[in-house]
Amino acid sequence: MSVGVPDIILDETDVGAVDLVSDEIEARSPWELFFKRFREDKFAIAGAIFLTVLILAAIFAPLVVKLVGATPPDQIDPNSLDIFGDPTGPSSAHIFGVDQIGRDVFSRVIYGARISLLVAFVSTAITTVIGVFCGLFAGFYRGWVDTVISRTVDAWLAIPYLLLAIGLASACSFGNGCVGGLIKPGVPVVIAVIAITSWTYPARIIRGQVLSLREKEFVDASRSLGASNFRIIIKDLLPNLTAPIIVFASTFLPTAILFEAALSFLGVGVQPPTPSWGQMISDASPNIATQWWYMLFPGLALLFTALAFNFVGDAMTDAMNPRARRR
Amino acid sequence: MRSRSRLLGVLLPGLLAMASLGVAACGSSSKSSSASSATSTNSSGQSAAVSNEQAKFPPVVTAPSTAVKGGTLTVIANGDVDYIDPGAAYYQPTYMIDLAADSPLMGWPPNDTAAPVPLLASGQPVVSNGGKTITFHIKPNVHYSPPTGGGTGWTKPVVSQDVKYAIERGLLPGVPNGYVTLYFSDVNGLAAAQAAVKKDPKVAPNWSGITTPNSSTIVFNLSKPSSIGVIDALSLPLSSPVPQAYAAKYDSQTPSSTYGQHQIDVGPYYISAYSPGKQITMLRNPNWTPGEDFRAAYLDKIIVQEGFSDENSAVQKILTGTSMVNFDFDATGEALKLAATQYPHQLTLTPSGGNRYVALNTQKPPFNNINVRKAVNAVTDKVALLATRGGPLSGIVATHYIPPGIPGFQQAGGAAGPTGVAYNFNQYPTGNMTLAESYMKKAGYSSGKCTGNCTITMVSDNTPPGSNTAQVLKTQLTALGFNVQLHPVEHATMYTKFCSVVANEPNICPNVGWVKDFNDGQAMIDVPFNYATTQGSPTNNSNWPQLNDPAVNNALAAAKLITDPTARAAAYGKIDDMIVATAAAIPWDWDYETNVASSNVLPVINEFNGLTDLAFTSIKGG
Repeated sequence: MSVGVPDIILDETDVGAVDLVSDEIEARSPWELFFKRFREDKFAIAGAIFLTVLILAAIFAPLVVKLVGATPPDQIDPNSLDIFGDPTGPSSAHIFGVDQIGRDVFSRVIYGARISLLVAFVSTAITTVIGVFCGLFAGFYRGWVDTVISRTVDAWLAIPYLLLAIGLASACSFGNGCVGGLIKPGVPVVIAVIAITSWTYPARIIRGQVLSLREKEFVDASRSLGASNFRIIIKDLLPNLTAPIIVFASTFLPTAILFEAALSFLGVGVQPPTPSWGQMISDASPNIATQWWYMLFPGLALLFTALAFNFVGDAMTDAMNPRARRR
Repeated sequence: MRSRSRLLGVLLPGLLAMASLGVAACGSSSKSSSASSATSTNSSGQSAAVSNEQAKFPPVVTAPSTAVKGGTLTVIANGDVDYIDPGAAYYQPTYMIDLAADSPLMGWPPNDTAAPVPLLASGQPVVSNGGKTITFHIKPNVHYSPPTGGGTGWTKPVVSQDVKYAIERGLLPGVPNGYVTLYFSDVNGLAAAQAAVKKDPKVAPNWSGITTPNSSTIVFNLSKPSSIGVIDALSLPLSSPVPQAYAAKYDSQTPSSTYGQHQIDVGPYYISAYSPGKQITMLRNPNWTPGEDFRAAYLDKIIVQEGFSDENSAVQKILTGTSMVNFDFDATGEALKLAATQYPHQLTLTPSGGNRYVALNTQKPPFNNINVRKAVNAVTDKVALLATRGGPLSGIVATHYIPPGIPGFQQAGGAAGPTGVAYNFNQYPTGNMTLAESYMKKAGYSSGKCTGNCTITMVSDNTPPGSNTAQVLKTQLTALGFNVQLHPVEHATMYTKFCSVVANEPNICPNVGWVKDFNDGQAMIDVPFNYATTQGSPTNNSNWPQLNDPAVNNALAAAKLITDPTARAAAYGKIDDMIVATAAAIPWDWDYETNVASSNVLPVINEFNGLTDLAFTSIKGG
């Protein structure tokens, strides 16, 4: 064997595979491979860019609205309504038109992104945390713990989630909310409803993963060294569940966004006048034939945001799976 | 009259006001004669308008000379009547049917709404005993129709005892009449009658204050000289006759009387079939004699088709179809725009005889402070609120509570409203922030805006246009520094759980209003602003501001007893201004009924309720 052998490109789907560049052997971490694979997905890149722009626009919403020359989301422009009190469409004064009482649609779409993203991320986080720990305990301890948690999951999944969501939202949307004021009206209600109705999905996924992981040798090794169950769960199992957790969270985010929009559309989500894409679509529904703009723009925002999250989520799923073949 | 909670957004029409255009005051008409209306009509039978916009779509209030008998009219409806039983009905769209099928003692020709005219009564009542005795004679040979749903009816003619029983049955829990104790509270023997009902709720009591010395005479004996209000109230469907021997078996049913489903009518039409929530069919009453009363009855058949939940589509259906009119919804928003721009001859705007206002809870902070109330009044952009209902085609900006066409309107200041420094907060239809801030400073907020604990609750409708009105108002109040917690709920819930329940009432109820029961100031401002209302009905309160002003309370009690129409109008006009001065509420709309009809319909609008008068409407060519 001699130095200067031409480059040999190995199958990069193998974890820990190395590039042979000249006579250098460079090791890549799993995360480096993850990002490399992610970058190869052009749709995911586009989605990531869109989401980055959206998040920045939501954070700097007042500045964005001011730069565009739009009015704040709650400000009513009486000159934008015609003699019948009907809103006018896109114009130089209001690039996305105005809504039924004269508020700038562009401004409300930008501020609505705050609600959608906030609900999406927080509800996903809570759903994931609850589901992961339920799944962890169920899968690790087995026995009666698994039975109780698994049967609870089964029963919960049998409940029509939309009716449950509507009922919870209605019950908690007034006064001090419910659960002793823990769940307050508005955005907290929506987050709580999504989390309460969705934790079962990650619970099942994680339980299945844990059932497999608990039989691995590293778990036996930890136990033989005297590690407690809690330590094994936190130090050994949880890090090995990072991939499925991230995959679940990334694919659940668009679901959460659409769930919030659906609740707002039905009138039990975020309450007016707080801007919400779902509520804007609901308000626009009766007059869609003649006042298309204030359904179109929040609808497109919702569509592209959900698509972007889906693209990113799919790419993350593929990038995390070492056995997935990419064409 | 009744709150808008029972109207589902449909406004009761009132007297058309020439008053706001300076025509002779409605209040000057005499109640002792069948005076011509204070409103004038032109040669086409159209009434005069109250605004430029309304002038473009005036209603026809007399049947044209070309009207012919025949044809079937379809009345397109969103919901159902509140009660098919005329004894319980308290909803203007229901009155469209009742005005055609029933014959109370007094009635309202479409173009004569200064005072009710005799309908079942053979002439004007005789008021005697210092205004405490009212005597009616009823027409002879008036007969009942076949019963609803078929079967054996009642073949005997109407007698005075039938009218007495009709009113007495209104006290039964199974006949939930909403106004009998309101307008007949001064009729002797009410308390004893109510006690008798408590003992036996299945049998209508004998109301001793109502006597029938013979079969054609009925006498009302009052404890106070409040005859005007009683006579006006006898134009409501409650006094349409009901024979006790026929109806008692239905009235004894629990929990509700079933008389409505088996009713017998005495008007030119009768209800031949009723399918709740689906359809009402009315046919010519074969036992009604043309010329028996002032009603013409051109149509052969009337069908009320219910269940049209999309009102925009329903309006379009009417405008492009044939032989149709609207029932319990107005043309609003896109539908109004369509009608006004493409079918202007099929649209009419009629003052409803009602108002809309924002109620401020005067019994708890911050609105227990009159300066804060004045500030909120001053900052409110009423034009923007009106825009949420359709702009100038939907109504005119209100400056007090008695609407155009009702005695007292002019006396209260007319369209401009009361003037003077004491009312300056009420004189800026688009709001005045500077003035509002000055009142906030007087209230102790040195910056001119609310500081500290500024959270206030507002419970509103959760559907447009009420929800839009609330959101616009919230924006305006936020500018004054208030942190408004807006809670949209179902319309009925807004009243039954919050605004009409004294203990639960929020700081602001933005979607309230009142519509007259009859054309008198008492019907407009007594119940909504009299503290006696709150005391009497803490769970069904209609004094939403919970106003308790001794001067207003005393003035209302005194005005009720005035019988001279001119003095009565002056008194109620003055009380209207007194209420404005308290700033307990923000009046913002005197609205129109916007009615639509198909091109082959010759609709006649009754100025009493602003709705199509089925007894005068006809179809071209029959």
